[in-house]
Amino acid sequence: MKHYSGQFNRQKLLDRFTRGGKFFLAALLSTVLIVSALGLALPAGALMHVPSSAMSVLGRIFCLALLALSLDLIWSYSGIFSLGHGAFFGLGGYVMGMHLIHQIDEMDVNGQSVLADFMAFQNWTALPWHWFGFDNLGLAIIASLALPAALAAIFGWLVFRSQLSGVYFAMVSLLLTSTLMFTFSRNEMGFGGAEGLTGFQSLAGFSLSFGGARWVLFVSSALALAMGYIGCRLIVTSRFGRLLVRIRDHEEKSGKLGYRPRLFKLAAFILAAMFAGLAGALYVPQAGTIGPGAFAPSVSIEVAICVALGGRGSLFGTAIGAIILSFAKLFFAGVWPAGWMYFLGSLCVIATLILPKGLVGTVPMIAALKFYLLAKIENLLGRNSP
Amino acid sequence: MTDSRSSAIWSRLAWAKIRPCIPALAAAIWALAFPAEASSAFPSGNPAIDGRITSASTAELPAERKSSEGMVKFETMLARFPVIREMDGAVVASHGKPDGDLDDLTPLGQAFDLANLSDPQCLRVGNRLRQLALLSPDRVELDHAVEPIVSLAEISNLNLGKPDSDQILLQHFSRDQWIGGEIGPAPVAPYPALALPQTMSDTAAHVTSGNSSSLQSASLFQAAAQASNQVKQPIETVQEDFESIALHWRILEKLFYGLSSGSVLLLTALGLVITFRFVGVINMAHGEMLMIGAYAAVIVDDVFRAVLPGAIDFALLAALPTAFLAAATVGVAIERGLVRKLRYRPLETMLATWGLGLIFQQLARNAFGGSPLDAGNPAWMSGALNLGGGLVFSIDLIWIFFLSVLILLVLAMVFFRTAFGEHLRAIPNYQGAADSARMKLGRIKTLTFGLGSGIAGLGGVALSQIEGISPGVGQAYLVDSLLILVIGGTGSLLGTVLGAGGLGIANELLEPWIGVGLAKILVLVTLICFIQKHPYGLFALNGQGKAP
Repeated sequence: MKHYSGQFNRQKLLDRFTRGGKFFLAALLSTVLIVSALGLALPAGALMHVPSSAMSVLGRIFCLALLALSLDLIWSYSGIFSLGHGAFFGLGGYVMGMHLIHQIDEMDVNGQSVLADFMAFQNWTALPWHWFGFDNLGLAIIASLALPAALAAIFGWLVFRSQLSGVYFAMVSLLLTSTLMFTFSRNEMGFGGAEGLTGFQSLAGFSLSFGGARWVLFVSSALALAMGYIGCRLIVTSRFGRLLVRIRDHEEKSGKLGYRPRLFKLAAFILAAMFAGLAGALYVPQAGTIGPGAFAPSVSIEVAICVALGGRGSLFGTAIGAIILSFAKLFFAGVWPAGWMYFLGSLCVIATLILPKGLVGTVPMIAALKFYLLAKIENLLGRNSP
Repeated sequence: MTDSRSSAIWSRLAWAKIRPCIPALAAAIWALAFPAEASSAFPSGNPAIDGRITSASTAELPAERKSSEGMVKFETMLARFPVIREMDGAVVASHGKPDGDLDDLTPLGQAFDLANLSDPQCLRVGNRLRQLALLSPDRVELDHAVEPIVSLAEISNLNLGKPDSDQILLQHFSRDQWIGGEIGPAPVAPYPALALPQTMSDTAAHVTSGNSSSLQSASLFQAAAQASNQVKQPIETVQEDFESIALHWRILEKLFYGLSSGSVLLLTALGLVITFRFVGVINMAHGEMLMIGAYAAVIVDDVFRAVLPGAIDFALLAALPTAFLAAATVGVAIERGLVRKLRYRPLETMLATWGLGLIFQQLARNAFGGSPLDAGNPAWMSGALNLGGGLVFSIDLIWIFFLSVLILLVLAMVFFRTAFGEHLRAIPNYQGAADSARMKLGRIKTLTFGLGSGIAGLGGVALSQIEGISPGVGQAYLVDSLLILVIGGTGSLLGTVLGAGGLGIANELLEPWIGVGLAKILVLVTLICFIQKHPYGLFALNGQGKAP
């Protein structure tokens, strides 16, 4: 075990990141720089100009990557396989959506406030009581972290208390998210019903269709992803992270050594929920809508596929998975909509059956394959024979 | 020391008392918090809002109908419900504010035959239209609408017991007075049961003598009582009797519907539990096994229609083995091709089987299209059974209930009376010993996976008799089956049966009472409280951990 002195040591800090992780951070930074330069500096008609809508797409992908990253943290380092991680994403998204609805101040063609139209559509005379307070951006951001954390704390405490893990935890978390889906899709619950919240116009006084606002959101999504990765990496290389892994592998033994496994797992679960809530809060203004579909079990399972495809435990591999999934979705939506389900379905099978370590884990295996094949060939040629 | 211990015991006792009440308390708090939203299907009473919503649809109406303010309300309702036009006895569902139940039932532009009372979809649309017509200020239309309510034959179709119908009736009566400008001895002539205060006692005597249909007009009496002050006194005594009787019947009816809607769920969950117990994996494509069985039933029905139209009543009997075999074959293929290769990795198996389920769904969508397909009810399964006293059970639900009981019995026979079952029961707890005893574990697991899938296929046949089959039909059943698995546990099939029956009944009783959204939350909260004490369900396998 390395001895850490109290003194700050740059090399030791860098040692906490893997080579792939440093490469990932560099790639993220250069993507942001290039896209910003092409999008902001070039005129709108130029060949290489990046439209602000493309920035929104990239920003959304970063948010999904952050969501998958948070799932990787609990799945790989704490052994909590959640099939309901979209619940926290959706909750954070709904908080931000409620804030954005509050921000609507435009008038429609009849001179009627758009917000009033929304309320009339919902058959409300006033916004329900649980919408109170979300008109403040700071409060909304805090709530988009705090509400998922609170849900994770209550749900996690109760479920870990009953000592359910593995497949059982996956099932119960799936039930959590599907319950939320039903609840949020009902009109009488006051969350916009089956269509959800949409028609957002401005955030912090800037119009959401304005390129600058989109750029800010894009950069903050990238920043959130980078900070999320760095944070997760610092967590898993810390004493706390090593204990998490120890508890994952030997829960009973660590309990007998005096640690409290339930609290450690709960802490990791709450952290992951906060990351997911942040991802949801950043996703919604860029997507322009949030509905009960965010709570659908399929969303949570897609996130798990991102993790499995990218490579469990690598943390940055989830970003690769999210990018592949998102671009494939865009591609199939344009070319062959029916093919998306086939693609996603076969990706599930491939990611689990053929790539058990994910893409990131497979690269070293391919490198090793080269040496293996070289050795075979040399053997065949009889050079090594005594 | 003693003090602290006894106080701990007391607090624990108090907690044990309080804990069961938590879900009910939460529901009560919620209901207090959302008093207004519960009746959101009705006009808000704010003419500004109602008027604005209808501004588009009133334009098409004759000018004289717009004059009354009641008309505006009526049109508001029309705009709000997805049902708009009635043409030659058929209703065309059209664009409107999506409203709860009907939203997922009516694709846009679909025509419904109102006279067809056997099809639940048509029936529901018709009921909704009749409810709408109750709000009409046009007298002719109103009489036309109220007639079937009072006519004893159709009285059960309008679900008079449901709160929304009561409310509509109340609204109707209050508007009647309002339009007339005075509170007279009306509600007027066309409603014989309501109109005549002097004959009210006669009617009451007639009703208390046990006439079944009149029993259901209890809510009509309530409406009348609130509408007319003059007749209040004679009614109230009768009303009390009604309410106690009607409550019992209604609970009995709901129990029955809960059991029968739980029986499709039971078959699906049984398959899932068998797979999980003996193979050790959750098959996330299990809902698609249900779908495969249901589509098999539809195909068999079509084949019989084309080839043997005379024997159409026996299509269902042929569909049962076909569906079982189809789903079981697919299940065996999944086990051999995928699940076996992912042994000891149950979490990844969940992901992979879910992916397979997606592929099956899309295949079905490409083959059969996205819109719901129906397998016809055979003659001996359609119709309703009137047990008297206001109890009406539809016969297909009774048959489905018996079918699931029969399948359960056959399964019990297989488990406890055959060599296969004996081998099967040895596997979860004594896998090593079973292996040493030269049982062919691989083959037994494959067959069991097939058996579980096949039972879900049988559930699909049952489902095809209740509702239309579309490719996504399995997903909801999968989630509910997972719930039943967690509640019932894998130690005994009895746990699954209790879980499915309990969930079916809980849904039937809770959803009309507190709404679907709240009912789901209540079920989840109950589940999470329940697993505190029984983490592995009602009946845990031997060796599975006990509660902390």
